[in-house]
Amino acid sequence: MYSNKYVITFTTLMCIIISFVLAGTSSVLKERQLYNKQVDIQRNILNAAGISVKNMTEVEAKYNELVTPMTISVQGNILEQSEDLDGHKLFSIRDVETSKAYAYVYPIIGKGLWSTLYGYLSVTPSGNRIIGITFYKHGETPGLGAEIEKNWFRKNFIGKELYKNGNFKGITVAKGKSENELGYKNNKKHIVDGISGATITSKGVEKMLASEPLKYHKFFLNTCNTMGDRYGNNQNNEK
Amino acid sequence: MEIIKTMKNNIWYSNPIAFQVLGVCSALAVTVQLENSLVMGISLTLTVAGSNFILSSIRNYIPHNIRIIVELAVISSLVNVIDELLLAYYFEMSKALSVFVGLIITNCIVMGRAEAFALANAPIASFWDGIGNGVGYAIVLAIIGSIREIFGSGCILGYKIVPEAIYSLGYVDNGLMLFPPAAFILLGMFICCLKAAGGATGEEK
Repeated sequence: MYSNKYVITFTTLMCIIISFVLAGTSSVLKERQLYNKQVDIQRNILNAAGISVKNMTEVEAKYNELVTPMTISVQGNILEQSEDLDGHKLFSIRDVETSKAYAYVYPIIGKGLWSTLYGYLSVTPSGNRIIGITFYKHGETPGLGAEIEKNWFRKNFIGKELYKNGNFKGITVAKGKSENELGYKNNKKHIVDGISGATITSKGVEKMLASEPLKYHKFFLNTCNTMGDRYGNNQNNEK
Repeated sequence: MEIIKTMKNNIWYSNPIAFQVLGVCSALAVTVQLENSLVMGISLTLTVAGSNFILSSIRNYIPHNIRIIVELAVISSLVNVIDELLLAYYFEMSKALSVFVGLIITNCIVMGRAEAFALANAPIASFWDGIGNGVGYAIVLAIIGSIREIFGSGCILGYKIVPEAIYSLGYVDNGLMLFPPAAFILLGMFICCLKAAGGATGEEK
């Protein structure tokens, strides 16, 4: 048997050595990891807008070419200073040929079952129709809640609309297949398939899409007025 | 020669998955694609070899009554280092493997080899035992991963290998292959074949 004194000395020494090793690796690699995260966020913004990119260098190049980050105020005006804390982040995606913005991407944050979900939503310039959605950070159960980041779930949202007859409607995430949800016929454009077995995560996504787009409501209202497009009413214009 | 013998034993006769039936849960989870399986195999090999070596070198100083805690501390630090390395140099893979890299800590192979081998043998022998077990695990993962990738998505390492002509004849990728139960079935069949071929008997020859 070892004496208590020996055991305590041994564990203390072990802990000190291990903490040095771990702290060392973490600080040496930190810069590179942050850079990776940054590129991953850029990739998510591009993916949300429906642009697929293969590797990291391509991500950076495309991002710099197509994406203009900006900050807008609660009133919906574009702010000069991006450090404004009250502002909301918004990214406009330029079309290569016409060099006009064909999509806007904004971050969406909401609560899932275990964790906070972070993602990006991409919408048409009127802010109505969804071009794409991505989730880049969450801690949901793999195989259940984590399905939100899978293609089948994300594809669900493409073409759905946030507004109905000019009023904000949001997106309902059904329990399982959307066809079985009440009122499906009248709301086809506002309902998506949910994840069976992950109702709370699905509802979390629904809540997130009910609140986050409202932050940008005024901004899109302004741009729509200048573009002469009646907000959410005239769906044919957007095809 | 000793090394070759240990390797052969660990890979063929007492393969960690096929004979010792250790580390099966991660084998089911990460084998959807060959690339994931390979990275997981390499990460595990490094962890087992590293932890075996370190634990074996300090085996005479480890107080017996807290040895499990010491083993866990060493293993989890190694896994953390590997996780950090993946995050820095192989970010996409680290996202694809998500929690499973962290779960190497609880992979029974690592603990099992530390308990059964490293605490009773010299560092160099333990190191090679770790490599042998890791490679044995990696090979099984790679085989199952490639079968699942070929039949589940028609690719190998992300490159399409099933020609379009076959698809136009009505062939469809098998969706079951993408789910963990497929790995379970394949693993069972794999162990069965290995036993029939004379492997995974546990006898050292």
